[in-house]
Amino acid sequence: MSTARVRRAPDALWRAGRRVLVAALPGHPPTTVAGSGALVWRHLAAWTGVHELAATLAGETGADAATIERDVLALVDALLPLGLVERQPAVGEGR
Amino acid sequence: MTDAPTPIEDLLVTLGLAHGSRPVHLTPGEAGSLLARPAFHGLTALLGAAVDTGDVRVDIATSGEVTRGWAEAMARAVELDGLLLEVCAALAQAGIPTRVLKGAAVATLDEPDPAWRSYQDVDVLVPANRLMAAADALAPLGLQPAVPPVRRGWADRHAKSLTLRHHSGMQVDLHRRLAGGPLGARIRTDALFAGGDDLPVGTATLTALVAEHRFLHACYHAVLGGTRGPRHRRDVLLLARRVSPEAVEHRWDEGWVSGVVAAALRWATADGATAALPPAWTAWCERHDADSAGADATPGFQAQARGELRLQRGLRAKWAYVWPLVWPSRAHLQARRRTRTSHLRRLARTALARRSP
Repeated sequence: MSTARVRRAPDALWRAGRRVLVAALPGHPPTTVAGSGALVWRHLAAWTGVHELAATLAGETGADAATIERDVLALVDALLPLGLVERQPAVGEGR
Repeated sequence: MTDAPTPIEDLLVTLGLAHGSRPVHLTPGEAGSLLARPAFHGLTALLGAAVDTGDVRVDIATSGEVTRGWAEAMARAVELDGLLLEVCAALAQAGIPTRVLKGAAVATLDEPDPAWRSYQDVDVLVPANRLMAAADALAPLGLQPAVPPVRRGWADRHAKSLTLRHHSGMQVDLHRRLAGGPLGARIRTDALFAGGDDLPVGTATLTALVAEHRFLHACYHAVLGGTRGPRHRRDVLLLARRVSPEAVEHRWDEGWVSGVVAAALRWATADGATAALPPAWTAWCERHDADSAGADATPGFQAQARGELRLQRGLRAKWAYVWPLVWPSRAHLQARRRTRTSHLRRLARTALARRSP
């Protein structure tokens, strides 16, 4: 279970449908994410815990929360190096 | 101008604006022909949105094609928004106020979701006497006029807009007016800067025209813009839902003409889109004459230039208007791949063609 908190970069420019997300930081090329990433992205406007987000999405979609949590972490891992997502370390992490 | 819209085009133009009926099933071929329409019609984004909402159903492979096309349109909008931020920041730095026009503004402020509206360039209005100053302020961003103006002074006094090309291939349309010709010249541009709607783009807050002006601009573009199609119809219908006839009528003294609005609304609702128009506007259309815009509403640069020439008071003003068009700058001719002789020949041919029966 991840206690990390994440949010999308406030200055990210983006468009999303239900099955596709396109996002970029100003002056950088856009990144396209197909699939459920668009749904996750819409929940990242404010800081949110990955575990809580997975539970929310599980409630919305009826999918397994553990699977969703893995998907959310994979998306965060993909978007973090691009600066499109920000992450607050979990308590005790990095000490 | 375009051919009469198809039923599926009507569905996309009114998506989210009128109560839909049963979902429409599209074959791969039908979806493919919509995706192949020119980007400025904006149908790919609307088709993607319609598949998302379930108003249009396609097979899985076609759904993938639609999503790919939509993602490309989204990527274009995201890149253009990045450029828009740079443009507005550079103009603010130069002390030039701006109003964001058309695509970026309508997408964020008027569409049910910004992803439903695609656009192909950045459109920004600057004060009427600051067009060339704005162009100069944007040069450090790598933005250069696609075609240099006939003369700088002429552009600051008479041009509708100036297109700048970015080294990335993106374009910025700097506008000093919302429409060309006499009808455009009548609109008081200072009124467009008297108010504005906040337009969030990333962490910045830019300024768009107020909703009444966005509606009027959509109507003028549909009637006077030369090229019009599904996206222009949707803009008119979208904005008609944002403003009441009473609110728009308060703007007539800024130089807007009711005949243009009536003509735009009649055109936008001519082919099965009447349900998308609010009842107050339907009633308004019944009381207003679409023909009162008259010959001044003729699109096309030459017709509009003749109309503007008529507006110039006195021989001196008429000469100042015409001479740069007859004897433009060398840079303008080079960009249009004309010699001075070929330009003069072309003008003579146009004049002779107008005289012949």
